[in-house]
Amino acid sequence: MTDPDPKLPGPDPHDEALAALYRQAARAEPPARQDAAIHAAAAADLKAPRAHRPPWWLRWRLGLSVAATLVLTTSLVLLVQREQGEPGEEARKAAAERPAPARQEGAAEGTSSARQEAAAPSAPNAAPAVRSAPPAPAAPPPALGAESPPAAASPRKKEAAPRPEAFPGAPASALTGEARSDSAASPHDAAQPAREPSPPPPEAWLDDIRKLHRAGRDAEARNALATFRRSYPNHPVPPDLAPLQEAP
Amino acid sequence: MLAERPDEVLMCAYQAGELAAFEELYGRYRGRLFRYLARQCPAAVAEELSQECWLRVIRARAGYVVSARFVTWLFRIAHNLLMDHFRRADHAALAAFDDDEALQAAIESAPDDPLRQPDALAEREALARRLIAALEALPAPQREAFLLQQEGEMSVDEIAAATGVGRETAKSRLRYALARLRAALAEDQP
Repeated sequence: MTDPDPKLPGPDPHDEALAALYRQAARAEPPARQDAAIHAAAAADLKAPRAHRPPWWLRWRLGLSVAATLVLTTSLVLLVQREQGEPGEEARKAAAERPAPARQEGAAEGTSSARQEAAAPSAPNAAPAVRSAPPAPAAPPPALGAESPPAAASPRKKEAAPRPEAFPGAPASALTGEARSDSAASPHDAAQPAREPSPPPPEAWLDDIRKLHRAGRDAEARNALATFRRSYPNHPVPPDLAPLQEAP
Repeated sequence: MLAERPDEVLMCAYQAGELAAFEELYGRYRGRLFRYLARQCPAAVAEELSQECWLRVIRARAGYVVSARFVTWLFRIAHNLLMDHFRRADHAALAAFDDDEALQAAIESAPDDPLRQPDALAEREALARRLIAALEALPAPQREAFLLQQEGEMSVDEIAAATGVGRETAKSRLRYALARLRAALAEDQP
């Protein structure tokens, strides 16, 4: 007997001659001890009490309760962190934008002054949080040095001279970037509270006054010196410029 | 004497508490299951695996559900126990179950001549002994397929289900087994 073509669906492979020969040869039987053991086990299983299988939700109650606890705990922690994070973020922003102390006599970029104007209104409100915040970062480089804080928030204003309209006698080379940015920031001035530009460095200012004096422009030099004295009342006047203090 | 009930009905009756139904079921398959195992592993191992197989049937009584023929389920348990034995003690036999490419090549080269049945009883007895020897020399997957067909009276689909392979693989294994057995028995025939 041959097998059908496997490519075509047909009857299962089968060989009756082999099957008959096999049945004649296959006489092995299990030992009697197996029969006894199996019969005993089958009877014992019928007599044993059937273990009550609890419903699935009872079997899984421990795992479900642990999972529910984890979900609740995680949700509460995230919620608390989110609520605590909102005021803290505002304080961190205010602290980052807070200018350096006024002891710096450097110039400030216009961008930094604009940021300070933006931070000024919120500074008083954020003061309590700022006090608890980490100390302000180290003073930026002189070129980016900040001017003194607005009057409402800082006592350092007392040390500054009355706000001048300009710094007569202080040419562009002596003027700070802060001063230059005054005009550039003028659109902001209209919307922001008045701020006090920092005066030029005293020595450079005196040099320029000296140049005016040597050029014969004593009126301008005298006016500039007067302004200088108001800005730096404690700074000594050089002897060559002392005559300018006297009335003409 | 109990009426001839299907295997599945007997198992359900045993599940309901009828011990006699289980004893009927055991009587039908005790020899066939033992011979299926005895042709594939040493006699002592076959006894151990056979007993373990029936104990598993007993333990499954409470949760038994008729999802296939009882014989398919019974020999699937036996097949799994046999595979566990191969993993522990006969890695060569286990490797043969994964070598389907060699099986396909062997099928193409296997002779397909019909077996000539001798007339004399003595000759048939000798031929039967040679059949057993040739059967034990077959690769494990092909030998198992032949034994499941003979002892379990299972179709190719049921052989595939019991051994966890596809229908074509089961069919190829069976074809190879038949071809090799015929060839072995025909070698010395005139």
